[in-house]
Amino acid sequence: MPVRVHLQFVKPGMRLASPIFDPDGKLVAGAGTQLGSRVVRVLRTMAVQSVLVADGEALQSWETIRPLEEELAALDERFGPDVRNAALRELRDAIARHLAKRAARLADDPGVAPAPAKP
Amino acid sequence: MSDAGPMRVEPAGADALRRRLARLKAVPTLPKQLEAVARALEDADVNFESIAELIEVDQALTSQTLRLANSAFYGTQGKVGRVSQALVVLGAIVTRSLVLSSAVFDVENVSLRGFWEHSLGCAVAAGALAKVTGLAQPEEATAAGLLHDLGKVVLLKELPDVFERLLARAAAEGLPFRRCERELLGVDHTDVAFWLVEHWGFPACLAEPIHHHHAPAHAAAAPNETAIVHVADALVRALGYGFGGDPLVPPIDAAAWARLRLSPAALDRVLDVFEADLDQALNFALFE
Repeated sequence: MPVRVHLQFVKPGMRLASPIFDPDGKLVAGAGTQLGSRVVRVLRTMAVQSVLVADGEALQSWETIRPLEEELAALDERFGPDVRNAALRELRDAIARHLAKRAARLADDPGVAPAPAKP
Repeated sequence: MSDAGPMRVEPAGADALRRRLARLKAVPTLPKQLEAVARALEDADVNFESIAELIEVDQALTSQTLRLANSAFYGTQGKVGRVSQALVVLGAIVTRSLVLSSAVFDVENVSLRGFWEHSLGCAVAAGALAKVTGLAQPEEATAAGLLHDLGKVVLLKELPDVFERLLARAAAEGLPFRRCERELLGVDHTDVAFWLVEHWGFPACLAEPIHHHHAPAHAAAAPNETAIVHVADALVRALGYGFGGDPLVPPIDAAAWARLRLSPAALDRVLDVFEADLDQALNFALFE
């Protein structure tokens, strides 16, 4: 099953599960492209932050991108139900803000943008 | 697992464990090459070019030096690609500590999945906290973060069966790894690390955060660095990045937290810096 992964956690040799297009709709890397340093460098210059990979089963939870609701639920689970420590509450709130900001940024990520509509 | 349960150590077993623990105090001898580098870095008129030549002979040390220099790197253009540049970035104190610890802290060969990420994450978080608060040298805070769990590496390498038992109990009972260490061994990874860093003569800015990152109030000479690594450890666990022996977020010491004076806006900056610096460190590690 395709897994969405932060570009920084892509391992050399992983394969793209869906194609990536530049802003003009030109194909940059097709599905099945193997991710090596050259491809990753190109994606970075396009400000790509995440990609869908075909072989992401072995990835760790922190390497993948999940919907914001799932990320926030996992955050609450790590802190436990009763956060009495005031510093931890401040830290948890800051991380929740950070996750929301990141989710908004990732929503427009060219790495997972749909294919351009055919004219 | 024995019939008596995972943590009950029968007297004979307890004696054997104590003997094995005592042997850990016999610090591993450094290879001659590393000894030469460490000695050269003690020289006040240190010549980074000649030390770089000594380091470049050792591939693992070269990679570790460059990786750390890049994770701590900021404020100039481009990447740190040469050891001599890395030495300028890191400084003699941090490099010497890296050289000494590399005898036991060969993270690439540590089998515990997620452990390297936890150490790297703590390093980057400590660097981010130092940059935002201005309370410590970012390079030293980064090195202290990277090495904060040195004692766990020693336990994992020297007492792998015991380490497995500790991990299993922490997972089965939802306990902090450190509590399991203290109950089984009578000491924990911070004590084990202290035996080493004391022997190696680490400066306080590194030794105290490594020894007291779970009890920052005990830091006497380097309270800022210790508070930073204490909070960095909690932060990286709270982010769910890596695995430090258990998935729990430890409580944060109120005085250490107050020392850092982190407003919500400052905390937001810390998290932004963390993300950017981690991205840079990982990109360098994987694709360069």
